[in-house]
Amino acid sequence: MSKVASNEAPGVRQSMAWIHGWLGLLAGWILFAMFLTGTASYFRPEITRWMQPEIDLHPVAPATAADTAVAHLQKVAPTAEQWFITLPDARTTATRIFIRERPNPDPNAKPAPRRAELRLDPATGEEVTARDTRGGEHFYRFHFQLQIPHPWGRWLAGLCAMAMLAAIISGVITHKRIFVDFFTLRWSKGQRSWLDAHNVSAVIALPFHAMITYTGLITLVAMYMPWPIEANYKDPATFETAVFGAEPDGEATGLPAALTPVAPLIARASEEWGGGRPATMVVRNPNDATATITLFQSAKDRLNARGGSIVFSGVDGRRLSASPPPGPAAETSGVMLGLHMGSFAGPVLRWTYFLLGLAGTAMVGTGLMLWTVKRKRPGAEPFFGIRLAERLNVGAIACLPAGMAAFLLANRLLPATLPARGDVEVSIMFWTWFGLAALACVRPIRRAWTETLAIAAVAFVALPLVNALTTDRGFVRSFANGDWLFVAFDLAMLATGALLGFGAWRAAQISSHPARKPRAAARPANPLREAVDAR
Amino acid sequence: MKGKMAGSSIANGRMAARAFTAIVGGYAAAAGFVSLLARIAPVDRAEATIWAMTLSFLVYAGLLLWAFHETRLARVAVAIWGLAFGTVGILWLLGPAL
Amino acid sequence: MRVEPALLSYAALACLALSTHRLRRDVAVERLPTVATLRTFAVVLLVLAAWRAVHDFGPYQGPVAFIGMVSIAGLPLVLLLSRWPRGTLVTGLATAAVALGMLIPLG
Repeated sequence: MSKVASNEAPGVRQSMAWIHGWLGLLAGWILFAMFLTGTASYFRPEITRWMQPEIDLHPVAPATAADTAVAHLQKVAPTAEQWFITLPDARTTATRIFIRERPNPDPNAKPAPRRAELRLDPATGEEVTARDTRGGEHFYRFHFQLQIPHPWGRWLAGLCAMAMLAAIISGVITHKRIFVDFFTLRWSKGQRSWLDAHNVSAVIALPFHAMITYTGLITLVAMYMPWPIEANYKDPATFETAVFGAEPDGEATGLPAALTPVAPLIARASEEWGGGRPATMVVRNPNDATATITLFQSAKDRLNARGGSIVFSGVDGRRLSASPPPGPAAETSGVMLGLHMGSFAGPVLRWTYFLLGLAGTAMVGTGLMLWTVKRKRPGAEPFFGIRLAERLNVGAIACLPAGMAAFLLANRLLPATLPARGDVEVSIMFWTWFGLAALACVRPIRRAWTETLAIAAVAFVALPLVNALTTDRGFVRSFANGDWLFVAFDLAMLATGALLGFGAWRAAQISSHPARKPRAAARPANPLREAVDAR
Repeated sequence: MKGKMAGSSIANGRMAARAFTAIVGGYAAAAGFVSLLARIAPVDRAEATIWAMTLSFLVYAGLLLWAFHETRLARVAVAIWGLAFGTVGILWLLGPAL
Repeated sequence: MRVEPALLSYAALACLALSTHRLRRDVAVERLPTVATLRTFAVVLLVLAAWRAVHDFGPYQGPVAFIGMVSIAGLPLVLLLSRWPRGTLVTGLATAAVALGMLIPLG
């Protein structure tokens, strides 16, 4: 069957194999980092909770959390322009509040410094203080901003995602025998093993890879592809109002009016959403005659990540307006967003997402390995491009995990009162990542693999130990207390360490048996043909 | 395809032109094409806009791959830049709907 | 734990693997069911997995769970196949038994 297809369309497989190889290589290192940190981000709230072990809150009903948050805000900022309240849920246990001050009417005055987001105990409304950290938010932000100033990080991430999409399409066209390759993985055969591993990790989770890449582009579509809006609307705000409903923007009158209780509004919104719960509450002009309260629906229990919103009067609790029901296109793009973020996923589905993300990471990593292994000739000194690619492979595949482990270790080892502690943690991740990658450049390539993978493995295995020594939530106590988040975190770190250790062991084996290499090298000399007739 | 990898400066220049056409021209052509669709599609404005945005990356990916598959560079350049300037030109004449 | 769809998928993929020519040669067990029988088993198990996924995760998340779990079930299977082809038969039968056993009390 494949014979017939290749006769019908001569050249398509060749050109697609060629473009697949170059797209994969050029975007591969960044894509590897995006896949790995994105995969970790499926546990964003859990990582944040692990990184602030002194916080151990218990979930309460949304209405209680809203009441305590409003009571707190009435004390600290009764005349602010807006209050943003993010209500807690089973995974994010603290209420998060953000206050936007009224702009100073004097145009010459300096703008007031932006207030930081605060976290409250949902049961009491007391402010929660803990060590300063970016938490899981750091991996999440890095995943699409790449620690590059706005907007360039997002543009670069988008370009790489586009390359990924084109690489997936061209890879599928290149690939002849998808269903046979599904089950084929041969070890210790050099290039053939890397090809097998790349095929298996790509084919097995192909629906996930295609979905996550496309929906990833959709998450920032308003930035990447705003032109259809420009073509239809003179003012983009008209489009936003048509799709998401009008946001209240009235100015305060200065006439004081008591704020209506919020708990009944939450009950009414929940009823209107058929049991859906609110995630965020925005109070505009609190304690003013023009006060409004907007409730945004949570995406935690539905595929569509864009929930509706309802605007209530903040004085008498009247329902003023609501977002329009989404049409098929809005629903589709909302579901795409939800599929990418996976916030609807319960524990079983979330772990499924996590493992699929690892499969994607493996697909990119094995593809990068394949590119260099395929082009190396026995006995010949590899030319500069290959040596550079090899070093960048070490830097991405082995050194990034080491950097991530260093980020978590720094969280436990830095003094809790260190100034700008959260930023220091982040710098430690990048210093470890790039420092280790630079060090690896001066080592022979095989040694570099073994050593960097071993360092990363040791760093991950050290995490449960350091956690037990520096907090009172070590493995044994967590297990005894039924603190499953901390138990699972320790186990996941040990498993990651074991996986990296296995990689280090394999790398050491290969470097001590170089005789195995010629098998791979005995392949035809034309890399194009190889990718096409891989078997 | 092998010719593309040859090291001569003409080949390099042609490759650079092809890559520029594929990446920048492909983006412009995809953006112009889906925007024109969104502008003239006889459905609700907001819905047409969202469909166009949602499908745009598929169009871009298709143009990107075709630009590297088609061996005649002139044909690639004419088709992609033609689509880009053509659709943007029509959009400019039409002006925004709302 | 709602992992039956994953277990059923694993058993289905094991059946599909055992129906490939190369693996039938590597496993070298006499009286292996015929290719057609194994493919029928695989389809039945996949249908069961899809039904369980929709039953456990609802009509919207169910398809997501089903596709994700079929993919995930492939990973341990491929690793096992690469090291111990006969393990496919053993673990395939075992997971099928466990998963079907889990279905009985629930109906």
